[in-house]
Amino acid sequence: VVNDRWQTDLLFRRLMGLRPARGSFDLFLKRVTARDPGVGTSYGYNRQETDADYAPFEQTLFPDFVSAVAKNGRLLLHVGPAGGGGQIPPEQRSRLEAFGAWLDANGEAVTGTRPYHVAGATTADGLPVWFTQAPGRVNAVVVGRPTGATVRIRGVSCPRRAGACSATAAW
Amino acid sequence: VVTVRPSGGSTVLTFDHELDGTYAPAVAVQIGSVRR
Repeated sequence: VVNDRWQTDLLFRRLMGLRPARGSFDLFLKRVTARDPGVGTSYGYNRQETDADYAPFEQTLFPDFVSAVAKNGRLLLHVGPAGGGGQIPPEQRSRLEAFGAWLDANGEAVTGTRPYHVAGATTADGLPVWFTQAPGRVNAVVVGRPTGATVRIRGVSCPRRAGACSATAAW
Repeated sequence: VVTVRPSGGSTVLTFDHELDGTYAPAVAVQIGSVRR
């Protein structure tokens, strides 16, 4: 168990291929590299923390996750069981369940994928888009809540050759 | 269902219904194939 809240183990983190717990990868990573944020402000359970102290799934944890995957990264999300019964507190469990629900529906977009040659883009509405690829397909993950029936991904064009854009799967 | 087409250097996804946040926090779409 590594606790780097005080940034005292930078050498260890470098040796282990870990990156800062908060923030995002700036570039493609040459090898699979992990970020390891705690779901709250502590790596372990802190009875002083409330739900407001935990990173929000939609605004922080999920965008961190999908952007890391698009850049050949991984997200190691720390949770800390509560004292006594050792149960995962509801504030932490709800975030894990949110990941599970999204992955149940959309897991193909990230599981077993590799980075595409372009990591990300934005929509015409300014929403971030992250790309992954797997044998035979390219996936786009539009983060946020797009409205309307059309989403334009700026600056990235799927190939024009016959059949290249014919995939119509939406999960 | 969503259709995908290139348009002026962009990729346009057209859904058969209005998006209303149902897919939050993200919509994942297969946008193309890769030559193997």
